[in-house]
Amino acid sequence: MATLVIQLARFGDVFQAWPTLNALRRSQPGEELHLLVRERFAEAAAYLESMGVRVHILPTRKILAPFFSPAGGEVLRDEAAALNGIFDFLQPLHAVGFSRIINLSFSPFSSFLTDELAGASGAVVSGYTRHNDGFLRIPDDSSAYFFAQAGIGKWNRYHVCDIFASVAGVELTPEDYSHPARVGAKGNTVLVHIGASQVSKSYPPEMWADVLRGLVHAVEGAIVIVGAANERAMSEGICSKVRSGRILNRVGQSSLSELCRWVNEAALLIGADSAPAQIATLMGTRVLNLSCAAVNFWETGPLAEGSRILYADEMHQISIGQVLAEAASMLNGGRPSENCIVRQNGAYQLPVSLRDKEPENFGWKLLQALYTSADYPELPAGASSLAFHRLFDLAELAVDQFEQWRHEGPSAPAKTILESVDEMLAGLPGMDPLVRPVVDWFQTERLRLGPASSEETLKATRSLFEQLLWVAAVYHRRAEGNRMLGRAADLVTLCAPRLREYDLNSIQDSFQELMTIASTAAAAPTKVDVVNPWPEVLNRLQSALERRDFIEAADILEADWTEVLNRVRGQLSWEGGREGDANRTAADAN
Amino acid sequence: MSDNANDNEKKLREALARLEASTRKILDTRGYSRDARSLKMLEEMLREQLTNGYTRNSTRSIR
Repeated sequence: MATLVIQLARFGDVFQAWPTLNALRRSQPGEELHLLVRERFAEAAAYLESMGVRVHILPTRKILAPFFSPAGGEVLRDEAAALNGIFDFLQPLHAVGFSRIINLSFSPFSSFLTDELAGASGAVVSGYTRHNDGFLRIPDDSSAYFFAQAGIGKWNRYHVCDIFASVAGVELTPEDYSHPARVGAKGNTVLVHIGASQVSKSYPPEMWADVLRGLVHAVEGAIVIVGAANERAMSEGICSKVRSGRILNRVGQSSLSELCRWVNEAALLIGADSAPAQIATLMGTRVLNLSCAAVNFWETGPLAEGSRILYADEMHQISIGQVLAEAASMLNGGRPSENCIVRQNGAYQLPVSLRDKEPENFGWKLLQALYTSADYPELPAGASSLAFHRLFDLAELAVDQFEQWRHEGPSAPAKTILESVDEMLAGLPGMDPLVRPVVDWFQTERLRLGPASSEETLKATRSLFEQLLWVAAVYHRRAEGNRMLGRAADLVTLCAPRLREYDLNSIQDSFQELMTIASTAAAAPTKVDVVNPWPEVLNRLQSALERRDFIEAADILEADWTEVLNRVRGQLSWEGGREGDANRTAADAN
Repeated sequence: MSDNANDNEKKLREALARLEASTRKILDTRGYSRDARSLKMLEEMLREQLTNGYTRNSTRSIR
């Protein structure tokens, strides 16, 4: 039995997959564990081999070399040579005969590669692969969640390490966050990583110079600047502005094993979201992470206990003073500042400024409701539910079309309407980002439908639209219920004084409207553990009216009805929606 | 960007265009066969080099 883990993303992702590798080794003793990585990660092979992991390298340069050769340009010859390179690379992998393939790369190339390897060996796959018609296949729920909900500008708060573990089907323990180089005690060195994978994720070079100048006065040990070779020029520019024998510029000069050793021995790492910060997680080294909206610290932030995150919408908004004060505080055992995010007890502790931030909070709670059994959240104060109404209307329209289709067979108008529904659904997040998690969930689940007969596809698509209808109904019914309850309160205020004067004529229409609302409410199902108070109070009112005791009717309206109106807000099914059903349906689907 | 890098990128773009045409032809005539899969692999490998983008999320755009 052999398992292959494919991790062909960036450097940092490989380190974030490390706990999953440890967990796989732990949970599958005696089974072969293989890992496929890119060439630039080959240097880590020694560490991985020492862990009992067999490492395979994707020889990208060799495979693509024919396209760059001086004699290149001969179409068929270049392609054939490159394809031969792929076949040569695949041969030893095919020879292993994997029983399981876990693709943690989330990329098109890796999905075709997974399909190729799994097709030959019949391996069980998790992670992106391909259907037999070549379309993307996402076999497991965790990868589907990642596809739909992870990334910049989204509201996912599951860390990538946890998502990787979930794709692999393993539970991580604290011991899984370890690396063979994690030995000995921490020193007093401060590591500074000045770069990041993108400029928008990086702290401005001129601000780094001031931070370094401040650090020279604030720390006792050496200050080692680390980074990749392409960050060398930037580091030299920064260092030219700060003269100190305690600053060591090692950018582009360290091997991976040296970097691991430095991170392991450091008292603190300061830097943006990048590979050294991910290494620090494995080394148990605290990180002062500079983060902004261009990254999602929930997904890729440092996990070592006691790490802190300074967050601003843009990097340059994090002041030099903040960085220096927080670094000094961390080195001296001080308390975090009030704007700092702290990694504590295995979770990120948010400052007040971020704790109730909307729409982020709503978005995250909505994700939990969609994918777990959590309750659907209230819309943020002041937010419009219009997009959810549209969602409901579109889902209802689609279900109606499928129903007609079932009875009357396919028709051109139904097809046109369904195409329009698709188009309008795709546009809804642009109208209101609050609906994006639902639309992304729905579209991903649709994408997951495999090749099948027209009838099966129709049935499965209709079922998904029905699930969408239930989810949208939560907010559709809630808004409708609130509107009706507000109207009922106004009508009570209008009708009760007139009833006391036996003036039924002037309020006939209003009273009728009030009774209709009450009858609708009385007929609406409630949450399981809540008794619907409307039938009882409605019966009493009708009894008073039959006896023509309008004074008692007015008393009932002003006292009992008003009390019930206040009480049922948040309790009746149209306020809570059919949450239980919607939860179950979404959870079943995922 | 240096001349060499520009030249490499140009070569890659041309190779990608040719591969896309070859793959499309095979998909149209023979469906998603093993040959098509190999060509798609090569095609995506080239695309990753060109965009130099974050490969993690890039599947989103291809369906």
